[in-house]
Amino acid sequence: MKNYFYINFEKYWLINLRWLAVIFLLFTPFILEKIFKVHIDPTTIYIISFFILTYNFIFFIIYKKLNLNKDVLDNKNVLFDNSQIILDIICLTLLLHFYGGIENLFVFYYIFHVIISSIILEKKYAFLQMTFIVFLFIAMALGEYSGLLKHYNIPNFINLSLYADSLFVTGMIIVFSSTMFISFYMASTISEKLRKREKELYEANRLLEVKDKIKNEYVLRVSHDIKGHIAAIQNCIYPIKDKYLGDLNDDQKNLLKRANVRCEKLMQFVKMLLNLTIIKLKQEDEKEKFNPIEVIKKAIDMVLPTAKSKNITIKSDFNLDNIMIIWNKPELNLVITELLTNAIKYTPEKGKIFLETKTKNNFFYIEIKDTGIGIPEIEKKNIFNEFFRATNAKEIEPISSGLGLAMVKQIIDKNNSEIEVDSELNKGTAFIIKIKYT
Amino acid sequence: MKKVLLVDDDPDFVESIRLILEKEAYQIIVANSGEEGYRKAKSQRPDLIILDVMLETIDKGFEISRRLKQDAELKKIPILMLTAIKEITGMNMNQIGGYLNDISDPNYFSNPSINAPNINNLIYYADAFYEKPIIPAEFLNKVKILLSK
Repeated sequence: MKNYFYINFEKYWLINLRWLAVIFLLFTPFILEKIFKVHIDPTTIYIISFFILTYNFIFFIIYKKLNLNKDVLDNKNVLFDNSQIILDIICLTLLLHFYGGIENLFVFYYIFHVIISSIILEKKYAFLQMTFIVFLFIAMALGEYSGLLKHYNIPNFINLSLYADSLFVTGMIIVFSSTMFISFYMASTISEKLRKREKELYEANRLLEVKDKIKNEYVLRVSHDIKGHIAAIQNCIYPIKDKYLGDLNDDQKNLLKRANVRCEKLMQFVKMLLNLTIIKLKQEDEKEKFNPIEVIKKAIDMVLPTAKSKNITIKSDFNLDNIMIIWNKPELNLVITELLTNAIKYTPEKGKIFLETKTKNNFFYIEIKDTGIGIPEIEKKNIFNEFFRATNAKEIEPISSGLGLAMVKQIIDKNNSEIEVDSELNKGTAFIIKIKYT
Repeated sequence: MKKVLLVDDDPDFVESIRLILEKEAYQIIVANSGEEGYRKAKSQRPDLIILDVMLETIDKGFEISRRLKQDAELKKIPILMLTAIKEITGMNMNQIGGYLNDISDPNYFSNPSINAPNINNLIYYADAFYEKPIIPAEFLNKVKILLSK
């Protein structure tokens, strides 16, 4: 469970920044020399650079080995981030001390550490880091002022001994400490607010998911109950309709037939709703590696009788046999069967359905094309919506669930694949499924 | 006259199935719960058991069929499982390759291991499955095949 939110940085952000800092540090003596004609002895810079490189490398290894999860606040993460920042602060202080103490203009760079720790650390740790900086700075300033620490002068830079000037040292300490505190206060307040909002968003999202699940379970229960009742009604109608219990007159037959058709439609609808809901409720699916061609062939076999009854021919063309995909196998069957059933339903008698497969750029394509009624241009964008039915489809088939394509889309999304539709009114429709193959 | 034991707790299903089976001159014994069905199977020795999956519990029928098939004396009696709950039990019976473990499967009689197929790591002991609602002609045909086995 997330109980604390880091602002999400790139994984190696701090570590990468540090590599850059070292490069910058190594170039500083040259820049000072060439541009500002200030000569310094770079030995200490090299030693400290080497130290930074060493611990940065160690942190890099630790980060990689431990595979720290930056989303979760645990002791490991706290220790990891805090120790990095502490070492950085110590290195900066050492550099300042060996190159002019409080006279060194790079004292401003402490602000970066305050800002970084205020953003990525909890407020209490950021405060401690800030205090640590102020403490080190004051210790350095007073140490050099009192003579307890040696002052290293930068020749040709500041020839006044500012470090020994009581007014300058006092002023510097006051301004520096207040700058650090204000930076800490501002950065940590803002980041705390952002973090709170991120947490609220996360909670809201989670709540939505929970509610959606409850809704789906409710739909599942209700539709399952309804299905039981319809099955019972049909069970009572069939023996009469099929004349197992004696003959019927034409009027009785007529009405019973109508009742039966409605029952069957209702059953189809409820089954579709059940299928769709179950697919939505299943979070993790059993995906497997298989050859999709067999599944497609089976799906064609399943719809063949329906196609024949309308004199529709199904032509298929599989020009590749050794393709393997990672998908949920029964769900692929469901998708192909549904698309073929749809094609048959909305194609006039003696029409044609083409099923073709091909591969291109690591993708496996299944195209199901018909010579049916097509989809009106402005309604194309809605066809995958639950309960949506195209106006011309309603004319042909007044009673239908409008759930079939919604289910298809749901399955395609769950299996990380894509589906496209290409259609021309009164000419036909083509659905193209795009699956990554292995 | 062949004896058929019908185990189902839904009176509407019982009544409609009883009517068509009686028309075909089978003797029908009805049990309204799984336990009653098991007792009647023991005492009456039917020639066929038609067993609903959802009885006292959601899968009581499976428990009863397992107990029947593990009983040395009763295991010869064919069992026809009735189900309306394939979605819930996750048995995708007719999604791929038709009914699993069904007598309409051409391999059914040649492959005895199919009598206890492994579906989703669960073993269902049944000789055939039929999904409700019942279409009389189809259902009677299935009953006839099971009885002639």
